Amino acid sequence: MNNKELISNVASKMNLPKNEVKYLLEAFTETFRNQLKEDNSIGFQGFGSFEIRKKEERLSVHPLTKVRTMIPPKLVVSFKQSSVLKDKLNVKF
Amino acid sequence: MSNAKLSASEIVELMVKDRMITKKSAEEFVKVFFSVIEDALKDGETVKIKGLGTFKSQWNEARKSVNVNTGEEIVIDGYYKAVFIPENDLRELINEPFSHLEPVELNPLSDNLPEQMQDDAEEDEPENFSEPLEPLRVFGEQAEEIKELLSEINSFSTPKVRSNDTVTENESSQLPDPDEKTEEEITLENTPMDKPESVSEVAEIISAPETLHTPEHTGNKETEFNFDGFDIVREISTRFGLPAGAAAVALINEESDQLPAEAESETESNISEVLPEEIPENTVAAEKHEIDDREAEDDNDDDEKQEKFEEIDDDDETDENEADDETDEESDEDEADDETDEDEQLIPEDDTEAEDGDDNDEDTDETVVELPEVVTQTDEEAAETIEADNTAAKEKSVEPLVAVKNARSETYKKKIVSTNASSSHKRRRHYHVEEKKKRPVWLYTLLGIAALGLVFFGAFYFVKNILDKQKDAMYMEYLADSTVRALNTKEVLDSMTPAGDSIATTDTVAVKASDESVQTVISEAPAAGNIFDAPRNYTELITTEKMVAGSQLTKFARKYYGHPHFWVYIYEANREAIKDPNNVPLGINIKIPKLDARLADPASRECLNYALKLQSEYLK
Repeated sequence: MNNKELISNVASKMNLPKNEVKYLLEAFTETFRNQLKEDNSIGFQGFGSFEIRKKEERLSVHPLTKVRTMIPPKLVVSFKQSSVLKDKLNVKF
Repeated sequence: MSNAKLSASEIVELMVKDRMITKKSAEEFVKVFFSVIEDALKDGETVKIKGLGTFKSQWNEARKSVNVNTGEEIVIDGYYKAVFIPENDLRELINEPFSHLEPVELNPLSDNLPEQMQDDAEEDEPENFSEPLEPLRVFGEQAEEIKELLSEINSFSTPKVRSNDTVTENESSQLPDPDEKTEEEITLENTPMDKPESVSEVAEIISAPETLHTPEHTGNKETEFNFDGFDIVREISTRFGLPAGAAAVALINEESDQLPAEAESETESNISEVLPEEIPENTVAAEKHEIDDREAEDDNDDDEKQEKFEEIDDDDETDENEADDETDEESDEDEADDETDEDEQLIPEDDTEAEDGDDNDEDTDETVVELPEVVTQTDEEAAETIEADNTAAKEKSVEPLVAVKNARSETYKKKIVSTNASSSHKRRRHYHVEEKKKRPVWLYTLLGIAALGLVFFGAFYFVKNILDKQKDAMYMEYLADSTVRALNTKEVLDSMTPAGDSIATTDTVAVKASDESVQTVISEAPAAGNIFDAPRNYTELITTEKMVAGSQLTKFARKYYGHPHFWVYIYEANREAIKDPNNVPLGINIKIPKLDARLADPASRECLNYALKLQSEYLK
């Protein structure tokens, strides 16, 4: 499901025109990104939580060339699903 | 930077802020948004959101674990996990604080390490520098070896061409001289006094250009040399009506430098009454030619000479004595017999030489093939002429001495021819022995390789035939077991095929039927072993589903098989109705086939992987 399909799906469920939903989605993503950038963690109940995690620097050694490479630290977005979502995904038929 | 933990409501508030959005719509949107994603994830779909990333449902395999408290082994069931993969854009945005950092190929853990690394680098450099040198040296040595080998090979191969060229050149340049001289000498030949001289001179002249090359070249060239010599013999003999023997003497003289010379000297010594002056000249001339070959051949030549002259010279001498006496016919006949015997003995040798020569180049072939002809001709001619001369000599017994001397000198030439022929044969045999010694190394290796290849090919085809027969036998057993009826009808129909076309078609139908049954039998057999390799028959259906807006094969797969990946089997069952699995037409009824539990086990990674493999095939 790509962006368009998502918008149309949401629009059909909300009974809103697609361009409006599109505007809403853009507003949401912008906010979402900004907040994540601010190092805020964002939790959506029943779905999961997003947060920024710092991956520490590490030393990687190439197994063949034995070249040691220093991997610098980095910040990544991590998503953790909520237990509710997990249960929903793993409903036994 | 704040480390606040924001909730959906806070996000909504921030969303609404500074935007023309009502809080209500924003709240609803967020709710619906996540519910849509949730639904999609439930169906095993991936949701791609621009500016954020991709949500997808990931199957985590069941795994064994240990209960931390009790130490019991427990199995954690496989489960679906919603995962989020941020877009590159988002990733870069988030990582902005560290974006300037890049992986470094050094060890920056301590300050000493870079120095060590530098040292290492410095140490590495000379190593890298010195290492290529040794291989280069090795390469240089190898190159030299290869050069040597090449030069050796060239020395074997190129001289043939070179010798040909040079010989022909020398022939072209030198031949006129011998021709002229022989003309002169032939004019003088009427007097027996000059004959030996002319013979020896011809030998000198013709051997002169070729002796230039003899030291340089090997057996091959010498056979060519023989060839040239005999050609010249023919030329001379045909042009000037000179008995072939006379020319042959000259030419064979060069071949067997020593023998003819000594033969001449001996025979001349026999005729020394007539030719006392020539002896030293001839022997000197002969010795000159012999210098190269003499050392190597002296012993052999002496032996050969002694043997031959024991055999032949006895005859010759007696012959000459007889010619002098101009009496006994019997001894002449004996001599002729002896010579024919020699011919008989020689011819097989030539044959063997020809056989040997077959392995050689065309040049040597020609020489070897032609040589026996020439030699036998000369020998036969010699024998005939000897008889004729002897008889002539007998008839002319009353005639003047000059004629007798003519005859005598002619006969003596013939004998020399015969002796020389035999000696040249022996010599040639000797050369061939040398050639044989040189050839085998590479020749036999090549032959051996070829033989090995043939053996392997033979073995391969033999084994293959056996296997094919076995396969056929197995196939026939299959046929017999599974399609006895079909076969029977086929046989019956086969026997009736001449009847008409309709029967022929039924025949083919029967054959097809039998083939199909065989196929099903074969295809069912491995089903027990590997469920994935077996062809799938979608005869039994669980139910049918109608495609409506929003319904998807993956949803059906998830609903009926427990995992969206198994949509491929629904697609397979509905191949006729669905042309493009990405674009299933609405309103059609989708057959949901009953699947083997081993094939569509959502807990089995094997099943999922196989389904994914099929998916990648169908979504090309």
